[in-house]
Amino acid sequence: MTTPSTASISAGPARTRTRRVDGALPVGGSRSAGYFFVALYAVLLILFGVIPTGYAIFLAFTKTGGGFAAAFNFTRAFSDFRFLPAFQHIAEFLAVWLSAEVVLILILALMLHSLASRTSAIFRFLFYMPGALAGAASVLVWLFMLDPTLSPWHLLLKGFGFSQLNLVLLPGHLPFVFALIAFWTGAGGWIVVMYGALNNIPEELLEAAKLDGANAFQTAIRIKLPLIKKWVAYMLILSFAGGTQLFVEPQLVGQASAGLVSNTWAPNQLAYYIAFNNDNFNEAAAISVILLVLGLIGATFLVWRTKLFEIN
Amino acid sequence: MEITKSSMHGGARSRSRRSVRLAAAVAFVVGASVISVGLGSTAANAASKPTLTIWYDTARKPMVDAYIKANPNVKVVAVLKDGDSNGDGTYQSAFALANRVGHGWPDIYFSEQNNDAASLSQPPFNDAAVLNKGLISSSVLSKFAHGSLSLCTFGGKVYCLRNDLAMNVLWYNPALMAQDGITSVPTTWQEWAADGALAAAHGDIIGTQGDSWDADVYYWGNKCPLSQQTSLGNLTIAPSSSNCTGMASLLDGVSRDALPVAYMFSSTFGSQYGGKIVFYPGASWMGGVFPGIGSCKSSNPDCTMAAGYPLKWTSSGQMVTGAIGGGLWFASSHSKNLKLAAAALQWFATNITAQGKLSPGYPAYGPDDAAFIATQNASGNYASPASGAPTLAQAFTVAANSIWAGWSAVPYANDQIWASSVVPSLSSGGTQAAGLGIFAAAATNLARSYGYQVKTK
Repeated sequence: MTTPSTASISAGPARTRTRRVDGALPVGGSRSAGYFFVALYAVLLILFGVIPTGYAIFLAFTKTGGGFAAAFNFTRAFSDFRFLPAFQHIAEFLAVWLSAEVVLILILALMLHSLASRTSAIFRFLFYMPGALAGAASVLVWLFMLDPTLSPWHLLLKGFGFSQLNLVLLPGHLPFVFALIAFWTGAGGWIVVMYGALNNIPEELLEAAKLDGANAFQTAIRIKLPLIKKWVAYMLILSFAGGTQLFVEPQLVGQASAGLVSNTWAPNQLAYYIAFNNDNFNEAAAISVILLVLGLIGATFLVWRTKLFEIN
Repeated sequence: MEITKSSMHGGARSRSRRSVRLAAAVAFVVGASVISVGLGSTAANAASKPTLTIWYDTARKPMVDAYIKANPNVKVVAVLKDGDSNGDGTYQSAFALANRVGHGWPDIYFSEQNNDAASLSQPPFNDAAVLNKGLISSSVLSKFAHGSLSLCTFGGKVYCLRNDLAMNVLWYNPALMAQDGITSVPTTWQEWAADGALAAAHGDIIGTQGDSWDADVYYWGNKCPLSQQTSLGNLTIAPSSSNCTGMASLLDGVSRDALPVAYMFSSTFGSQYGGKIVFYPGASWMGGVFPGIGSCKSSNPDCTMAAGYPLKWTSSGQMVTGAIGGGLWFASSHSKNLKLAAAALQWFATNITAQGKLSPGYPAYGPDDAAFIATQNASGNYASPASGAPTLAQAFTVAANSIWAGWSAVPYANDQIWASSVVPSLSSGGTQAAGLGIFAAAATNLARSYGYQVKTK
């Protein structure tokens, strides 16, 4: 799952401060330091992003034994009986997860922003903590949390009629279960990012709204939210791309529950199964390329609608 | 002045520093050469010792340790794997990668998946070495239990050795039977189902459903063709066969109090059902591992189970049974030392200490059976048989010869299909009859994706 980096978290307020203090672009050493950091990122991006993507596209259009395959791997993937269910599962998961992200993260970030800075710092730390766990570890935490025979919340689970893990992991519940795990792991980081974005709003604007008679709710909805729209879009783009590639949660929960979750539940799992259980890397690459295209379409749509790349 | 002085002597000092450095460098080179000569001879010793990479699962650890001890001249690289349990494709993933990069294969490996031979011996993996063409003698192969190598044999070529048979028997608790008013060990499925009412009245159970191995116990055990390869590439998955529907309606007729939906290796099975299992149709290896049940040496008199014959459909009918797992030993055709690999393979699958004392399951290699039974009898894991019921040796021997051969290995895991498609249905109140249809639909799709022609009737 994608989680925001600390660099992006601190970027907002830091940049504003620099501008306000000296009012000029960084020069000399600062500029070369900038190139240095970008170069490091660029190298990693090329090694672990661009080259594998290129290789996946190459494989997707190549036959198993070599040679141009045209759309063969794609048509084979489309006609696989597990293809549509996998995409349906991921669509359900994304619907639950992204809605939860937008609504809950924004509410929590706005609440944090209205708190005194010391209290807010404690809450930011608490929210961020689950994100410090690796994906696999957080899945294990949730396996305990969701097993009614082990969970500290067993009374609540049993109150909902879940007396066994089997009942918690029924197929209809899985999008919610995975969304819960993903939200718990990733939300803290995004809350901190949104908080940073809210801090970026000039104090004068908020003062003016107050003078005009706006209450806290109106300020949040009419002033703060429109001003951090781009950050929300940024979160949605990364979350959408990360969410379509869901793998660790269904794979681990499936293994830990002796197979209650199909090993081809999500498209990425299907690609993994086809690559490693059928030894067909080409068809698996075709599924990966489909996921990439979906991510790009989603990102393009959001960039276009929110004018993300426009500079004020 | 100080500065001038030092600059005056600087040249001499730096010269002396250079000589020191030179001396140090010479000393280092000489030292390193001496050390490398020493290391070289050690390396030569290590090189003369053949290396054998073994992939094994946790239950096989004592056997691997014993092999290492018994073969000091072999350098063993033992790698703990999950044994491809629940058909999670560990080995397929590993071989797909190894085949791609051209290295990384083991010499021998153990799999808990009976289906693995169908997959690993054939394209695209092509890893399992053919054993009956010079690697393992026919005199050894002929001593494996009749039919036990059928899971390993494709087109007359034997690709693996069976570790244990894992045939199903009827486990029963004599003390609980008496408490519940059950007077004799059931011999038919109908008697067993009828005893469910007595067991449930006392809060006890006669087995479980909703485990990934349901099909291996109930349907394989009643000759229900859910995975029957009639010829190469032709598979029968016929849930409407009377052998399947009959068993499904029998199971659906038993109250869920007596036959709950529960997973035996879940974290809480022991505490929930540990002392309440009157009967359990299950694999021969389960005797010592029923969760929550101590051994007979403990003070709890209700703690142990005895093995009965597999259940029959009618009292006059033929005795058939299924198997859960059993384990397979493979040699990799990519091994650089295939002769050594084959010898090790033979050791693991046939050695009397390995199979008779250290393996948890009934050996597929016939000559080790008596030693295994003796070990089990001495283990204290089993209760004394009820009056008129068979001894452990009788129950195991008869069951081992009753495994229905109409249940074939396929390159995908039937257990995985059952767990992910049928168990959720059973958990939410669905019937076994409905589960059969769900399983058949999922298995048919999967079988076709592997190129099988599937007959559903």
